[in-house]
Amino acid sequence: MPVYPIDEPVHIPSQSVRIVSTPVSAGFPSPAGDDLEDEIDPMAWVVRHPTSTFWWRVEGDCLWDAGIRDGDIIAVDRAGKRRIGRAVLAVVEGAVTAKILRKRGDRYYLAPANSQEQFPDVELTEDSEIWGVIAGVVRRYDLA
Amino acid sequence: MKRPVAISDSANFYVSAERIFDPTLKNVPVIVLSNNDGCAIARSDEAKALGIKMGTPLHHIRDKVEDHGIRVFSSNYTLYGDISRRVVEVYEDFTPNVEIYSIDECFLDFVGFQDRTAHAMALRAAVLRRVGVPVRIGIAPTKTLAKCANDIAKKNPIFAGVLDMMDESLARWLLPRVPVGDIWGVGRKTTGKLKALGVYSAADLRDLPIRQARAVGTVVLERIVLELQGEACLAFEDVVPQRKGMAVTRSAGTPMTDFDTLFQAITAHASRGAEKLRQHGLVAGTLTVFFHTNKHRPDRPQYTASRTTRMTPMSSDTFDLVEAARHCAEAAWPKSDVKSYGFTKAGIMLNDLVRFEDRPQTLFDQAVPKSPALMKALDDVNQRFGKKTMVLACEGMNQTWRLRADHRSPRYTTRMEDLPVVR
Repeated sequence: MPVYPIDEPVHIPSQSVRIVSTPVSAGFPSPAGDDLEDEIDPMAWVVRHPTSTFWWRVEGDCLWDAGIRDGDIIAVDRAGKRRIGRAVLAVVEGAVTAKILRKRGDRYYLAPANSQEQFPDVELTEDSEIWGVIAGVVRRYDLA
Repeated sequence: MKRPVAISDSANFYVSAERIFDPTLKNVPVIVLSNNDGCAIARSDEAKALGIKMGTPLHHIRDKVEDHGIRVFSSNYTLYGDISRRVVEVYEDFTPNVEIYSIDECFLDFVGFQDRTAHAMALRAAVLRRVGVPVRIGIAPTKTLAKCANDIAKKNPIFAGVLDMMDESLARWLLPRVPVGDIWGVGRKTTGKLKALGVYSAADLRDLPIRQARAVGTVVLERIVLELQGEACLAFEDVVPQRKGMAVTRSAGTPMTDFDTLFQAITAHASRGAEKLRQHGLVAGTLTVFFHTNKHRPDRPQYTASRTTRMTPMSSDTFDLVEAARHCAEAAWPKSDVKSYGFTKAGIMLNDLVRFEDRPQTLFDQAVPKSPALMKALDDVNQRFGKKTMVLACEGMNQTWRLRADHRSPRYTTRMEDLPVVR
């Protein structure tokens, strides 16, 4: 087995080598370190079923008394339970409308919630469909 | 032991997705066009009834569109992708294992359910209620048979969208009714060869001797025969195999006639490729640029080009990829008669992909310590403020190469300004 002599190590002059760049704090560790929690997320609180929740924009004031105004953004949950008295999105004659689900006798109605203006009730027929149940409303105000 | 596998798919998925937010599309003919508004790639049942075939170019059916009031949409993949994700989330509530096969088809592990039909019916109802698209479900001991069952359920309303073909006697009764050309994986050429041998139905193919099947259509057809006999040859892949390559390619809205315009498109595609690499935590070893003129216009000058380069070091950095793409594009650009060509398609391909952690590092790589941080910032900005908020300037401002999408519906679920409106 041949043996080769080693003279001296090879030097590459211009190559710099980074060793480590992680900062190490030299003072005291934060006393809050063990108690950090995630920031609150009101959207996650509104949207209980992300798979079935879709956002819509509201035009008009027919749900004013239910706290929903023109320009509001509403979360609509397709999986929400269709209960009497709940605000729902419904499809009537090819148009999407937001109303309160009501029952009189054995008939179901879509009723507005606005004591200032008169909107007519709409009877829920075979051809109409409840699209989803309103899960929450988001509104913001000018800051400028 | 036969393990039941289900395939769930949504017929006319793109049309169904459009119908969620626009009730005026119910019961009327609707078609969705391919990229660049070329041909019909999804048709509602009403449009199919008017004789509109898959892949018909829009300009061939202008009269029909007018006469029957067919509603025409450009493809809105942003919307379809979001709806598809939601459908998969519903599947995940019904089975522990989902294999995503395409944007509208998933294989579902159905092992262990007592009443499979009831389970599938409940799943179908849940997808319709929670997302709003109808799906059909076929269940069988193999993927190929499940596809057959799905097809039968689709064509025969009597099954109400669900067909469980685990029962062998049911398969024996149904397979003679499935044309051989409708079987998953049997192409048009093979269908011709099989018909010459007197194989017309799925049952005929199931009974074809294995050796003969291999002679006609190699090991692929042999596997289909075994699958039709109920022997599972295609494994359930709940873990997606790592990508080996990817491509980003688009048709141009108007033909590209100068280098700058072409390079704008290529920059955009390379940037998108880099973004996809980073999403999957991969780096690429080679990059290919290709572009060509309109092949369907032989009367015009033709030019096809493609150049490949090695990425050293392997990278997913947008700057590295665009730089490499520039070298390729310059090398591939025609040397003479430049003005006569109109390029209608350009793209990039990335190959030799490995995970970022596994990338080979050479001794003399110049470390670019800020690259990962810069790319993360780029991705964060584009995720937070919308795609293409921050791009390389060589993508250009006035993008004439952009796709035509004149009839695209709003991106209802992903853009604030596109929210659907309720009155």
